[in-house]
Amino acid sequence: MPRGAGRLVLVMGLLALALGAYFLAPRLPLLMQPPTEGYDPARMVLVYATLPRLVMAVLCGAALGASGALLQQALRNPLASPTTLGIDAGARLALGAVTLFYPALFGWGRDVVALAGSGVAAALVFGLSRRQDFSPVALILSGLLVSLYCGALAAALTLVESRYLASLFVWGSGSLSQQSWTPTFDLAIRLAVLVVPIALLARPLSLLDLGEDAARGLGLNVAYLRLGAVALAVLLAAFTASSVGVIGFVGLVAPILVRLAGARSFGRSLAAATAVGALLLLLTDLLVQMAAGLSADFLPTGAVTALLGSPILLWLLPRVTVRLRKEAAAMPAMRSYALAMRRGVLPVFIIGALLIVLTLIALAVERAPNAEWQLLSAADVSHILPFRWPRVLAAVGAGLLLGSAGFLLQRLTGNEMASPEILGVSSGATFAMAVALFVSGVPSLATVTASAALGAALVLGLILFLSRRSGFQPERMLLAGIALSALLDAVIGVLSAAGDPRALQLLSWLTGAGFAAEPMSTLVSLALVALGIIAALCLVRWLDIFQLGAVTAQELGVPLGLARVLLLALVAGTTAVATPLVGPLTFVGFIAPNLVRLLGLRHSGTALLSSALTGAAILVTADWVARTVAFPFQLPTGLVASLVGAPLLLWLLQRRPA
Amino acid sequence: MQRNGHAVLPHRRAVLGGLLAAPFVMRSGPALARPSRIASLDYALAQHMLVLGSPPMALADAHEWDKWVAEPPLPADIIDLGTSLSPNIELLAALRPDLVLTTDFVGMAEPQISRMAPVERLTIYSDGGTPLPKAFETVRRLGTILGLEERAEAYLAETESFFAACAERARPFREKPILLLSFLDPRHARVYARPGMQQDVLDRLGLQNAWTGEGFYWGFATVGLEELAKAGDAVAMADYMPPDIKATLEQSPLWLSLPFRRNRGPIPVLPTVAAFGGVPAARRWATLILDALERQAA
Repeated sequence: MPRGAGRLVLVMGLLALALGAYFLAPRLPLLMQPPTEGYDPARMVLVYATLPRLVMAVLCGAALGASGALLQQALRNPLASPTTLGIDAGARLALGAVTLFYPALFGWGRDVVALAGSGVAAALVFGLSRRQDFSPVALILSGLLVSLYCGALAAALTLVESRYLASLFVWGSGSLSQQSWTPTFDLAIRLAVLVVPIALLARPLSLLDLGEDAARGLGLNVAYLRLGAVALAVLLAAFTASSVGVIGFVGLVAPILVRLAGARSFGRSLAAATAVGALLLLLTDLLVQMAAGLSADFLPTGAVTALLGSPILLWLLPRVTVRLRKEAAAMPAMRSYALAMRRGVLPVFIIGALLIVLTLIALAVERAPNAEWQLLSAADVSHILPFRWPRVLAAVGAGLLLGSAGFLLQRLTGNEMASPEILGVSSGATFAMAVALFVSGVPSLATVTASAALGAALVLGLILFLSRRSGFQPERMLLAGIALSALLDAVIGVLSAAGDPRALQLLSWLTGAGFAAEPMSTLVSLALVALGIIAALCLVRWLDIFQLGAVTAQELGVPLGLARVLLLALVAGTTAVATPLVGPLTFVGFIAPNLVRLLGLRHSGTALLSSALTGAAILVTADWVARTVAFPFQLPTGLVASLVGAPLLLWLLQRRPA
Repeated sequence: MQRNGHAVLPHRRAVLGGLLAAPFVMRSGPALARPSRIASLDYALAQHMLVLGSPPMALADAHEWDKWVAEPPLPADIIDLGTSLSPNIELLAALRPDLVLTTDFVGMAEPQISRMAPVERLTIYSDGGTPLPKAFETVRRLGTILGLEERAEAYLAETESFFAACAERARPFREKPILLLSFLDPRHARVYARPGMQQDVLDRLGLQNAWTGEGFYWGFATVGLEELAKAGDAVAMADYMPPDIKATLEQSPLWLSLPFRRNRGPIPVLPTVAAFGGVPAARRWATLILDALERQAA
């Protein structure tokens, strides 16, 4: 009687066999018939669509399962996978861009592109988390950040060429639909090439179980070993992505299931994860195909795995936390902050003055209807200014909110990769907005804004509820947020994959293109901004104490649980107000506090205000660029903000290694 | 665009000539209270203004007209407002329109636009009913707004007789179901289905749609190509197929074995026609479908 992982594989295999038999039995006799003179559509579909699709599911699932197992072992990170490390998103963006500009690229060319995209994404993720010694949480946060960033860029691409929207969505959500054996054979060849190097690495990788020092003592070059394993994992994921699209979460869930089932050695768990990945995707795809018989809606398998995968991740999180928590404690808790506090109002005034100058430029410098640059003419003040000032001030308000929300979250979690986008609050807002769009059919700005706020509030409630048991431990809340974001993204993917043009509306808002500010709503938002910042300033003392560590903070009499809940509620509230103004993906909440930190402003009060003002300065500039640079076309503000801010931040991070 | 208009649709020359002359007729004197500086955020409504002889002053996505709509030709002096989902509000304000046309789809910008000009929302693609009758309604409504009621009625009456003539032309093809595709990638396509504009056109011509499944109100379903086996034997045509897809497609054994491909050779690709257009688009679909059918029969 097999035990542990073996039993898991056996059970899943039997299940797949039963389901497959049920699915195929009525049609298999068709194979026995000689390929007759007459045309038989049922036979053709069986031979050239159904069977290659099932084989494709097995191949992709196996590749992803192996990829996840390699990553988790090499990085000693139970949450590593092609999905969580941004590898999928990188491949998706690269292939999306290529589809738009060189649609005729197939074969190995496509693989090279997918590989380049996922390779660059992986390198970015490692670059971002290097400063935190690749700790699991830092890696996952960087992965999510890179995923979101790639997603925003891919969304912008589809807005450029909306005709391709549907095809990019279909591809991005991983449809396994096949019409010939060619793609299956092509993928099989690519994967076969990788089998030998993976088998060769399995043994040395298993030595990592002894601990890094012991492995080094045995003469292993741990750095090269890791690099090799990650490279193989990226290759596996990239080949899969280039042949069928993005299939999320299989690479994460398969190795975790194997570990929970109790596989002993790495060699075994790698083999088991490969098998479980293959069976997982096969089972999912069989179910999808059966469901497709029942409803007319187009359902890509990749979107379904993401849909099923994220709740599984939520459920698994408490079970993989033991090591996580240890690592989190060992994480550099930014203790240096407490030592190097520079109090002062001068930087705040300088950034504030800069913001005012930028705001004036944004208000006054414009393009004439004939696209000439000009200053706002007196004649246009009454015509154009009423439409411009709400938008500019909304950018200021949203920037202030996101800058302070990002700062609070980064201080609270002690993690410089944290950002409101990552908490899932923005995804909640987006999701609610999607529902409003698809249910009401006729969206008004008011409905959309109201539903965005409601969605943000619901997600916040859910995150608080889910992390209640961990005493609102910030890392756990971030991970719950990640799982929720992924779930909501999957739902949006399913909604969009059928090619509904309403997906375009959603997308345009997602990238901050539908920036529509009304005078009244802008003024209300600004009042909320003021409230939010005052509240933040009241709570800021706690943040200074948090930097001394949780234990010290408790000794000093800070009510830890209450403080965390209040601060998180503030973060969520400010994000909920800001999201309808500029869309969920500006990355300002990530960029602004980091810029301020790199400027050396560490005293909490100073840094909070500087972050808020920097956020506003970034968004006002981005909005002005978005309005003018491609006149008469308005670029998505959120996208311009992330395109401008992120490279700047990366450059700064490079310049000052920790 | 003239190429399509004249080479493919010779029998419509008279109509087109009239349409092209219309702006000059109109210039003689619009009624005083009528809006004259009209901006449209929607292609179909712009099509309707063009056939009524009163082109809009500005149009969203005007630069892509030739790529996705083609007919009727768009005068070159129409100002581009940027994308329809995120029109340039400031540019629109600078143009000082006295009416802006929107639809449910682009309605999100309405609160802002209504601060500068009256907004008229005329939606053709929405839940309930089918697009063609709604498109007729918007032609009438635009006729009333522009003070061109007679021209609108004349155009619609002419459209009715056009469809009647087309139905006559379609008589020999009534037995053959038609499959209308739009390719997404080498593995997936959209199938035009009930309740869409293309279905309305087939109904007017008395032709059958080979795809009996229903789509949602934009009138298409997204499918993997293997599902097209359900369509059985049909005359298939595509309004959109990038060349690279064609090459891959023609190597797929399944595609080659689908009855409509196997019995009739590579499927024809129609010239540019608006997928979600107005009455002129419906007429163009009718003509293009019939042209393709006749060419295949010849």
